Formats: sequence, structure tokens, C-alpha cells
Amino acid sequence: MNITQILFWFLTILALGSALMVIFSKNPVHSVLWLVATFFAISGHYILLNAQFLAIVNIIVYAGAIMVLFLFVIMLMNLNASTEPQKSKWLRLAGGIAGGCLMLVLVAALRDTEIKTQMAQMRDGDIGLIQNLGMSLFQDYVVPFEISSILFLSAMVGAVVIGKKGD
Amino acid sequence: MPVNYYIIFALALFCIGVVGVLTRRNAIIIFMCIELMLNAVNILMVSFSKVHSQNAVTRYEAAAGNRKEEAALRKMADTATTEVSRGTLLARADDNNAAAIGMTKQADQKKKGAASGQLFVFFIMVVAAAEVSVGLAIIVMMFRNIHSVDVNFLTRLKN
Repeated sequence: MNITQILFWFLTILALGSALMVIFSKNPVHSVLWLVATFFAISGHYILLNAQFLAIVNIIVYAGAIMVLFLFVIMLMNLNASTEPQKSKWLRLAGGIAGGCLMLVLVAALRDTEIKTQMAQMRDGDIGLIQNLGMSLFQDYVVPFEISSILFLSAMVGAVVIGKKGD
Repeated sequence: MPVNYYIIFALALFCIGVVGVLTRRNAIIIFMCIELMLNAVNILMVSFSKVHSQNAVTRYEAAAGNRKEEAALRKMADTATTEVSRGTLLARADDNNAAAIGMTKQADQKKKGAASGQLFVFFIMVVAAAEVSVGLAIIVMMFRNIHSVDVNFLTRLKN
């Protein structure tokens, strides 16, 4: 077992464990913090795959911006474990079984795919570097890039209009 | 790492997100679980992109091998004595040249595809950020109106 594999398993267990804690912790603030841990583990996976640009963007956008937004909203509403609405035991059990069945079906369906013998390139390769992605982004994906800027503008306007107090 | 480890990992993350959506009633937690599912997809996309990158590398190596063989064959053709053997050697060299060109073309395509995979992840993040800002605004508005983030109170639209 070399260092790459050790890191892979460590990050996988960290990501899955904190993802489980997200859905199991009673306090919403703890859920947000566990989700931040999950995102850091996922960023570690990106670094392991040498997708450095995505790793940094994942930390800045997800762990930085989106999660802080979530925390702000939770603190604004003063949510904690005592105000947390709970589903009944049977509904939770049914949800768990449904998710487990989905997992079972997907794993069974994807177990024998053709791609499974192929190797993902670890640690090297220049695909994920910002130079390559920038070239591709501004040569092949200029129009989607500009459309996403319009999407951001409309999302900003929408958030302000929805969040505005009054009438 | 074989890519099926990444497939299983992403599936597990996705299913944890699904279970969270099904079992929680807090709208914010449900929203966070949706983010979890988006991230599972992102991981899968990046790992597939790296598979294509690996395939591009092997194809470039094959092309380099073909070129080397071509050069060796041409050298042999220069020193060949009979006209017939010279002709066959040159034909084989041309075959290798064509194979190298084909391999390089395939590798370039794979490389382009790999970059596209990572850019799609970038666009997913962009859309997720926009979605979160609007969604949280909606949740705040809902909290202001019904003083709760319980999704079971949101059945009023039914009647």
C-alpha cells in the first residue's frame, strides 16, 4: 500500500464519515460544520487527482462562501437541536431503507461496467492545472461562461427581491 | 487508483445525500444534502476526466513508440540492398507513421474531453452557488412567514 492509496482511503473514510454525521447530527450548526469537513475531504481527493484548480475553487466557493451563507442563515433563525423538527421513527427507517436500496441497485448496475478496469491518473497529468482549464474555458466554453455570468446576475437580483421585506 | 473505487465512493456519497433528504424535515439540512449529492457527481466527473487523461497519456506513448519504429525502419531502408526489401520497409514505416498520427489525434481528443469534464464540474459549482443564494432567500422568507423551517408546514399550497 503506497502513500497514494493510504491517502485515498483516509480521505474516503473522512468524507463518508462526515457526510453521515451531516445527516445524523441533531444540531444544524454541527451539520454545517461536518459538511465543511466533507468538502475539505473532497478537495483532498481533487488534489490527489491533481485537479488543483477545482480543489481550490471547491474550498473557496463551497467551504468558504456557501457554507458561511448556510451558517449565517441558521444563526439568523436561531436554530438549534431543541427547535429541530423530527420525523417519526418509521419514516426515518423507511428513508434509510430507500437510500440503501438505491445504493444497492446502483452498485449492482455499475459493478460490471466496462470502465471499471481503467485507471484514474493520480498525482500527475496537467489536465487540472489552471493553464489548461483556462485555455479550454475561454476557447470552447466562452458562451456557457457568459451565460453563467447572466445566471449569477439573475440569482443576485432574485435573492434580493425574494429576501426583501414588505408587500 | 482504479476508477471503480471512485464510482463506489461517489455512489455512497450520493446515497447519503438521498437518505438525508428523505429523513430530515429541516429545510436547510435538506438543502445541504442536495449540495452533498452535487459534490458526489463532481467527484465522479473529475475521476472520469482523469481516466481520459490517463488514456491520452497511453496513446501519446503508443504514438511515440510508433514514431521510433518508423525511424528505425527508415534507417534500415536506407541501408537495404535489394529494391524489394527497401519497398516493404518503407511501406511498414509509412504504416507506423499513419498509426502514430491516428494515435496522436485520439490522444488530443481524450485530452480535450478530460478538460471538458473538469470544466463541467466548474459549471456545476457555479450553478450550485446561484441556487444556494436563491434557495436560502426562499427559506428565509418562509421562516419569516411561518416561523419554522419544517418542510411539513409547506403543504398549504395544496389547497
